[in-house]
Order: sequence, then structure tokens, then C-alpha cells
Amino acid sequence: MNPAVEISLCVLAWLVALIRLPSIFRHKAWRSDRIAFRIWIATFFFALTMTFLVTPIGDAINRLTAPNFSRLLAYSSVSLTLYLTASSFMITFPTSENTRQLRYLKPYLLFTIGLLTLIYVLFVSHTSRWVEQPVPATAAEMAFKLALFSYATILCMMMALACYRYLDREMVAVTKYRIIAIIMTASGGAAFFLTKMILTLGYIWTPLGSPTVHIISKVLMTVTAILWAWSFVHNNVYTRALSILRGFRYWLVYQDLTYLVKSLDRYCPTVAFEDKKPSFGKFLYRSEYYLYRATIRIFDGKTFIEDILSAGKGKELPEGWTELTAEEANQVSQALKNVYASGDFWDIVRSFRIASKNLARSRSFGTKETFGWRPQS
Amino acid sequence: MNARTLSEKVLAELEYDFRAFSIDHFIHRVEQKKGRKILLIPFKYPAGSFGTWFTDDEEPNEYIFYRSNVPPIYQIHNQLHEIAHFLLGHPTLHINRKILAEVLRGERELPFREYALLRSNNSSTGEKYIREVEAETLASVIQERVIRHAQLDRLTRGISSDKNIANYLEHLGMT
Repeated sequence: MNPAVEISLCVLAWLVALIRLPSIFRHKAWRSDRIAFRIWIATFFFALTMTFLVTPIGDAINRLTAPNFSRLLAYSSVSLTLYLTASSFMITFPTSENTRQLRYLKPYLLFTIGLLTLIYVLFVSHTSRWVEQPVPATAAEMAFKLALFSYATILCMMMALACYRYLDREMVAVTKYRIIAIIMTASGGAAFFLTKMILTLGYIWTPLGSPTVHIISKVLMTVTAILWAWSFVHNNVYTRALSILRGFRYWLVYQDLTYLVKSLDRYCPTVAFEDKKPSFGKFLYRSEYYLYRATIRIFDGKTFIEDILSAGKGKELPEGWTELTAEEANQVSQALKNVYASGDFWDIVRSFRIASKNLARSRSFGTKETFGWRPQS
Repeated sequence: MNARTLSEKVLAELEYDFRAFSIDHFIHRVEQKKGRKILLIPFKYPAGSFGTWFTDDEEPNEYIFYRSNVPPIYQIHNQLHEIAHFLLGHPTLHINRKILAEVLRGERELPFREYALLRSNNSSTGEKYIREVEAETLASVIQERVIRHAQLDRLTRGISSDKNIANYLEHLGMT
């Protein structure tokens, strides 16, 4: 792998571990909350894994200790990371399946580390310098990799399932999205280790070690590492990200309301000042506020026009109005006549949106027929 | 001082927690802070009027009349606009309990014409226009804060449905 990518992922892994360290100390988590501490230890082992996988660091360790020893360290650390995170999730979400599966985790970890050590002592430590290639160069390397990748794939799948079983019970939006991020991380990890297993089996059957699988594997690794970091970011970041995502969704809604606002601006003076149309960037941060203000402005205009029109013919028209203006205003008023204006804000917004589309349609077809909307219940 | 800065200053003095916002709760806070009773009175307005604020020169009362034949969302907006005039200390007309009773019995009309002279002004530089801008800005800043807090609250109300998860997230410094 490119050393720049190796180092970037390593730095990211250390950032995740170190940023959480002060909080662990502050709460004395090793005493007060063993699970939180266990999760932090997992982040620490993951950072260690990424460090051992940085080629210059791995080479230095090998020179100081034994041939290919950095590989044994990296594979053992990642096994521990996966064990700690999977067991934490299973303890946290104690469904019957999770409790049953939890029993097998420690023996499976010990078996895997034992197997890795055995293969290392008997074979890998005697082979020449390990050059990381997608497809293993020796049968020992294949066995070594298969032992880890099969373990990692299974544990990642167990983690994803453990979180998935809980997901429906989580009612707090931010935490729900965090759990979704963890499920994606675990699923990404499972897919990554699966591709690594396929590449490893390329030693037996060459087509399995195809470059396409290798590229997919690299992409999955990068995505999983980023998702891993994303799973540990502060709630405020999730809150901001969710607001922005909502902003994207509401932008088209806002455009429809703006069409109505512009139509009303032609007939109805603004109260004190005109709300400036926000740029897309500004809108993303405060989408609900802008939708609310547009709604209020529509009510201003709607009420004003209805007042004028209900006064009847022969009454004095407002300044700047002609009979034609009154006719056009009537068209807008008709579009807004049957809108759902009471109750839930989002029903009002949906109703205005439909009125806006109907108005645009009636203008383009030159008809005064417009229809309002009411919720079904 | 521009209208936005002025609004922020007024709200800072009010020391209101927008997470708890409802129009009644907000009014209660204003009453506490200003030592005046605010009475919201629904009213059937003539065309073109939406709300008016009168002060009582005999008792510590403020009267906010608002148009009743409009949807609740719009009524609250009009109430906020009038409360904003009061919070900003704008001039207004004085009435008293006797006048109010007569108005509510339909024996006399509210002084809309005089009120209109006090408020509306087409000039975009005049003092009356600036007062309208200030009141509408304050109302919009209140709405902005309510929405921001409601949004955050909706997203972060509690930490998790599960107490253990809430603890882990807290101890890992993620909340």
C-alpha cells in the first residue's frame, strides 16, 4: 500500500484513541465504566494495529526483534480490537442471541491468537522478509492470513448483527445514526476481510487474486477506517451533519414556497422588511427557520389578498392595484383557498407546496382552476 | 445599533431558555422580567390589520390584540410581533380597563386609526418604519432561536434510550 495512505490511516486511528483519552481519565472509566474503558482499549489496539502495518515501522520492528514479527503483532492487535468491540456490543445489547454468542468470543480469540502464534513460530518467522502482496507468496503466509481474515469477517458480522438487533429500540436520533455508522463500519469491515480472504485463496486458485478484487479491498479498507473514526466523533458533529442533510432535503420544498412568496410579493407589501433569500450554504444550516419564515410570509400575503378581494367590487383598491392586478391576485388567492392551514407545521408546508405547484401549472395552462390539499385523516 | 444587534441585546436581558418555549411560557417570562401582566385578546380585525398592542396607564397591564380568524401558526407570529414592540419599548397608545370592557362589549371601537398613524409608514427611512423593522427582526430572532433549540432538542433529547449506552457515550466524551 502507498506509505502516505498507511500513515494517514495510522494518524486517524491514533486521533480517535487520543481524543477520547482525557474523558476516560476524567471519569476514571477503568473503575466506573468497564465497557466504556473496554471500547477505548479497542481504539488503542486498533491504533497499534495501524502502526504495525506502516511499512517503515514494521520493518524497524522486524529488524529489532524477529523476522516478520510486526505481522504477528498487527494480527494479534486487530484480533483483540475486534474481540473487545464485539464483546462490548454484545454486553451492551443483551438480546438472547447476543448473550448466547458472547460465550464463544473469548475461546475463539484465544484459539485465533494461538493459531497465529503457532503458524508464526513454525513457518512465518523462518520465511524471508514479508512483502505485502495481494496474493500470498507461500502456503504459510496463506494459512496465517486465512486464520485472521476468517476470524475478523465473522466478528465483524457478529458486531453488525448485535447493533442491528438493538437499532429499533433506540429513540434518540443522534445515537440511532451513530449506531447506523457502527453497523456500516462493521459491515464494511466484514466485506473488507472477506475480499482479503478471497485474495488469500488466490494462492490456491489464481483467478481469485484478480486486480479488481484487490482494488475493491483497498476501497473497503479506506471506507471502513473513515467510518471507524466517524463512529467516535462527538454528538455535536452528528447533530450538525443531520441538520445539513435535512437542509438538502428541504431545499426543493423551499423553492416551491419561494415561488408562492414571489407571487404574493407582487400584490402584498411586506411587513417591515423582505426576508432575503438565503444562499444554498446558509439554507443548509437553518433550513427549518427559512421554511418557517416563508410560511409566515405566505400567510401575510394570503390574508392581505383575501381581505382586499372579500371587500368586493367597487371598493377602493390598494395603491398600485388595477383591475388586472385584482384578477391576478384572485388567481393566487384561489390557489391558496383550500390549503390546510391548521395543525402540524409540516402539513401546512406540504399544502403550500402543492398550492405552489398548482399555481405554476394553472399559469402555464392559462386556467384559473387550482386545487388545494387536505391531509387524508 | 442595527435591528439584529438590538434584538440580541433585548433577548440577552430577558435571559430566556428557548428550549422551554411555548408562547404562554415566553409571555410568563416577559411578565416576570418587566413586572407587567400581558393579556392576549383574540379579536375580529378589519381588513389589513393583524395585531395591536396597547398599554394600560392605570394598572400594570399590557393588552395584545390579535386577529382571531387566521390559523394558529399565524396568530402566534402576530402575537410575537406585538410583544416585540413592547420588549423594545416602542411608543404605543394607552387604554384602560374601562375602555377595554366597552370594546369587548362592542360599545366602542379600538382606536385603530390612531394606532395606524403610530405604526405604518411607507417611507423606508422614517422612525415608524424603523420601529416596524426592529419589531419584525426581534420576532424573527425569537423564532430562529426557538427553531434552533427545538431542532437540537429533537436531535439530542437525552443521549440514548438505553441508560448503559448513554453512560458509555458520556464516559467516552462523545456527548
